[in-house]
Amino acid sequence: MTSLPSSSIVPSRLRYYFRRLFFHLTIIFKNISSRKLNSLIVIFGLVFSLTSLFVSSIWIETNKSLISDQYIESLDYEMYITSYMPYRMNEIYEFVISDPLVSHVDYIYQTEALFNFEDKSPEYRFFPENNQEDPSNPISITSAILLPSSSIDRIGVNFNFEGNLSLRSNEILISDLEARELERIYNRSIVPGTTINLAVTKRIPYTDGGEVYLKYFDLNIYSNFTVSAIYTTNSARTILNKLLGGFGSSPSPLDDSIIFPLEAFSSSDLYTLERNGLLPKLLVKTRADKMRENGISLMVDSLAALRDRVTARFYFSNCILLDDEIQSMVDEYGRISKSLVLFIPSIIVSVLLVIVSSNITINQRREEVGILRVKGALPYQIILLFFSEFVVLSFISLVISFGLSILLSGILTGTANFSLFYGYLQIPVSSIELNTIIVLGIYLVSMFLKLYSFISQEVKESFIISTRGRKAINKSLFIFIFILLIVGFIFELLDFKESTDNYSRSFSSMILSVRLFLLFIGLCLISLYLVALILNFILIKIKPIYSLLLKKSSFFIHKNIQRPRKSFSSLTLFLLIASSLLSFTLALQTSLLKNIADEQYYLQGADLRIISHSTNISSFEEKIERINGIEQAMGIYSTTAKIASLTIELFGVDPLKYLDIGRWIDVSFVNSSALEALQKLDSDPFGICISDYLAERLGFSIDQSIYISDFFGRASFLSFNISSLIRSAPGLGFAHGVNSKVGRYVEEYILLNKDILSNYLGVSNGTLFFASVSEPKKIESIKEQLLQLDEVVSVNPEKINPNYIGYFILQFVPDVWAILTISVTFILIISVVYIFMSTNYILQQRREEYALLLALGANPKKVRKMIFFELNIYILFTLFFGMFFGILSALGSLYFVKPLLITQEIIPLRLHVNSILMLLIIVVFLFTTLLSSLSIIRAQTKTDIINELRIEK
Amino acid sequence: MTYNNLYKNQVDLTILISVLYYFILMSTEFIRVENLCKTYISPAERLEVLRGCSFTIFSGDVVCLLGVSGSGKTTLLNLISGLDSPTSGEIYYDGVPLHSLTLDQIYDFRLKNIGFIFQDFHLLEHFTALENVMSPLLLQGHSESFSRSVSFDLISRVGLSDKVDSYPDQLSSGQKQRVAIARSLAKVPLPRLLIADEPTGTLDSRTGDSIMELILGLSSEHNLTTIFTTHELFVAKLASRIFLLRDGKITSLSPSDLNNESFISSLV
Repeated sequence: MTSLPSSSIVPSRLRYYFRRLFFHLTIIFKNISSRKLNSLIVIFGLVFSLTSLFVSSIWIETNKSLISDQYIESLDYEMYITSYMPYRMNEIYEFVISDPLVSHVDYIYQTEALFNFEDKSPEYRFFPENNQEDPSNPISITSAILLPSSSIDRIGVNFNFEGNLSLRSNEILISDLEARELERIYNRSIVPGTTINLAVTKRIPYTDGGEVYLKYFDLNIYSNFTVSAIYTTNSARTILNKLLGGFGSSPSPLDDSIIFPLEAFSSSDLYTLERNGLLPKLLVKTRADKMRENGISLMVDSLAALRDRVTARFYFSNCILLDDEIQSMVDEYGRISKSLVLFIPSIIVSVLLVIVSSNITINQRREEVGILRVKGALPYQIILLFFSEFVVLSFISLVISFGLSILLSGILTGTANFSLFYGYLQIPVSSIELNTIIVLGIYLVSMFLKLYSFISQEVKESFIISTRGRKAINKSLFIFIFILLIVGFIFELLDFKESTDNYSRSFSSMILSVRLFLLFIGLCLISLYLVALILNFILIKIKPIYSLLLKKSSFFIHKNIQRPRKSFSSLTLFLLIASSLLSFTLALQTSLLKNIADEQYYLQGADLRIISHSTNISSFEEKIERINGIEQAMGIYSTTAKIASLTIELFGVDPLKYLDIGRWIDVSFVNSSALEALQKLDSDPFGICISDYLAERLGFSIDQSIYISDFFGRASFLSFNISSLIRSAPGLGFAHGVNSKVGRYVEEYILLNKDILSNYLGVSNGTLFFASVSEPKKIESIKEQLLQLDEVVSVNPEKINPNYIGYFILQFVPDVWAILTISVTFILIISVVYIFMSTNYILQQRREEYALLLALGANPKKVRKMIFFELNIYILFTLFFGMFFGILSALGSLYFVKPLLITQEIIPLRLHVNSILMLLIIVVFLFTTLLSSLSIIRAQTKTDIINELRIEK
Repeated sequence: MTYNNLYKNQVDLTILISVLYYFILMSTEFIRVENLCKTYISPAERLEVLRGCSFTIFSGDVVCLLGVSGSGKTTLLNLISGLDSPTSGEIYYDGVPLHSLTLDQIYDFRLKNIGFIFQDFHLLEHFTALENVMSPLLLQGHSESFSRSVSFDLISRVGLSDKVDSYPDQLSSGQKQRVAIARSLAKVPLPRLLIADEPTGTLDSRTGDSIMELILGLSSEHNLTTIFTTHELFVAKLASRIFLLRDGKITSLSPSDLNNESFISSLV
């Protein structure tokens, strides 16, 4: 260092240190850039692992707010309040509107509206339309809802409409169903802008004989209202639908309603309505930011707390929440966010790459370390040198990872929500810090351990003395960790078994699933270490195979396989881990995709799944069957009833038709085939198929008689015989549990003969039909023909229930199979990089040997052949063993990984290995790695022999 | 068939016609080098190592290439053995130009005809002493059992029968060089040319003497044409012919020249 000037603006000491720092930084960057490839690989591995972890953290943190906000925004309201003291409703209103959780509160009245009453007397009694006094001039009556105009936009999120949703006081919204009925009555078209004459009324049940008559209110009866818009709903499970009593049914009551602006009624009108028994209710809209304040998992709790505050203050009130729907959203989100743990295999592989690359770099610098030691450098100084390089590489990796993860988080969310995602972007600092510490910590520790074995003279001496002791310690530690993992795994597995039932995946079982998955991966890694030892042993023992395949070079190959250093056996462990994790992840992915496809196929129910407006089932069946190409058609009769206190949904079918048309699977019935069960059902008119869950819960058995009551809300009951136990029916979903994917929200269903529903219970209309086709190839043209029919709404919809909450969430996060696909891709790329790097390193170490063989007269082609063969042996054997292990692991893990993969096991999740894909992966793996090593091998055997054999070396 | 049996027959034949052969051999040209030049061009400089070397080596000759460090001895050896290509000039083996052969033919020629002994031994670290000796035989395509048998005889011949299973890091420098010598002869049939590049360069004088004795003894026994390089005069005196490399040119010397003090001082 030159002497410093005596006077300077910057203190001289500072300038000295600054120069020193600059000097050291120059050395560090020089060291890094002199080994560009290794440095790049270290950065590559760090970026991969850090980015995966960061993306997961950013996703989870951002989506907590994004999804909860978007979900709340998609709902019209979250709660409604009723009271048997309607005159105190204003107090409840004032209390609720002042609550910090609440955004809006709206009054709602639910009643009926009359069309075509003008020429009828006020004492006119209303009968069902086909029984009215003058059937040629019937009254049409429909559900009427009175809502403030300001709330129309809110409920309109679930509408498809033609016209304008903004209502003035003399305007109405009318449902499409009602509009078409009016068209029939008035014999003119009803479009936005049409004026119609109607009144608000109330239906009073007349106990004598079951007819009802209407009491109209003393209002501006038969005012003219202009149709502002004609709407249909998307049958979403909203609080409004819940209030109207049509939760999940199709069509919902809202689909057959008229909506009046509350402003159309004066306060005296409303008073009249209330005095005549029309009770107002309150619709409550919460604030999205307050709902997610305690976290997405506590959204329902927040709502429940609001309910409790209201009912505690107003004991005469009743608050109904949209809790089930919000909870299902939370659970579904929880499952998908937990499934991000499936990235772990790719993170492990990228961290291993970092460790290996770092070890190779240190190995390559043995000489440098030795020289430094000889020159008197202390161990800590050498460690500091490498540590400085570690800091620089880590810093570069962190910066890249951070930027990349923010970009990828948005891109992987989907371009449609790109800007929305960034509007909510949240960086979980503590989570990112933890991930960084873990990854860089592993890198640092591995680097330190490797360095320490080189630099410490004292330790080297003690190596010679206590190598056996050191090995014993390593062995004991290995066994200890292995036992710990096994014990932990067994206990968690027992907990998991207790927490799970066969039908649905609870949140707690998901948490257990995550823990089991991590423990399982740990066990696999340790087992693979043993497999690597066994594999290396086998490779040494199969010398006769080398002799058979490559006679002349088998000796050299066998010796190379046996050698302790500069051997391709160093590839074994990593390749085993990579190939087994690759095949494990791929097997889960293909199994899941197969399950999704099978599920979709099964839930569709039949060749054709036809959704219609409410229409007469038997006549529509005939209409469908008249279409060329359709073999049979069957409509589903449905209603609700009760067994004990449980609400159940009854599906009436033609058993033999359903047997032919339906896509039955082997586990549809318990201990019975579909053929046996449905034939039995057909032979017994009062036979039913109930779920095994229900049978177990209520203590039922096959051939037992049970009573079902409360058909249509009446107290009547019928006796049925249990003919079989059902697990799931094609197109209808599970027998037990809410099956929101097919839009079935009642927990239990029963399958029975359609004649019961049609003949005994008067069910004639339906909206769901199944049909089989004679020529599957013509299905598209048949579909086209069906769509021409007036009654048909859709045929073979891509989403059976578009309102299934999973679809909502998948707008913002990738599905599980996509996570697995990304993981597979990562592992593949990292494996290729690793093989390229390791092969290059080992061949570089063997340059002198190859030069010697060439000097002795070996033909370069022979040497190349030897290298290829040796490399091939390792790659093929490790791939074979690794993939076999991976597939076995996937099979073993399916049981506890299920909660992360699927919400409901509608089709049993079975291992499905796409052998072509596996083969393709092997070929790609082999081809890519050999191609990449080809250039190295060619360079090696065109070695400058003379240079390699120079005395200076 | 063991090494001893195989070459015992050869030796018997040689004795029977040795007198006639001696005179024939004296006039049988084996290697002819004509106007050999080798220039290394780098961005920094152009280095002419050999500038038109010409000489002839006959079968059975024991030739020493003498010269100071950097005179081009190793370069010349590399050219003769086909490891390197000359900038100009030609090398003939039995009248056939070496570099008219294809690369495969050169490798094959070297495998069959040339035994190489390196200054730095260059043993394969993961092969035992015996296996190192076996390697040229295996490269020639012989079976493992045959190679093992022949190699055992050779390794016994160099006095290391008790070290057959030792690895190079378990041998002394002298022992390593003995293994290298045995390896250089491990061909069937024997190599016609033995090249030793400073075989005693990394050895102490006593060990070096024994190594040279071994090399020359084996060379004489099997009538091998031998070329070795050295920068040491006392080693050079052991050869029957001496070529001096100086300033890129080659000059033939006689052993008596090496006893001339004024001549020796002119070399320094």
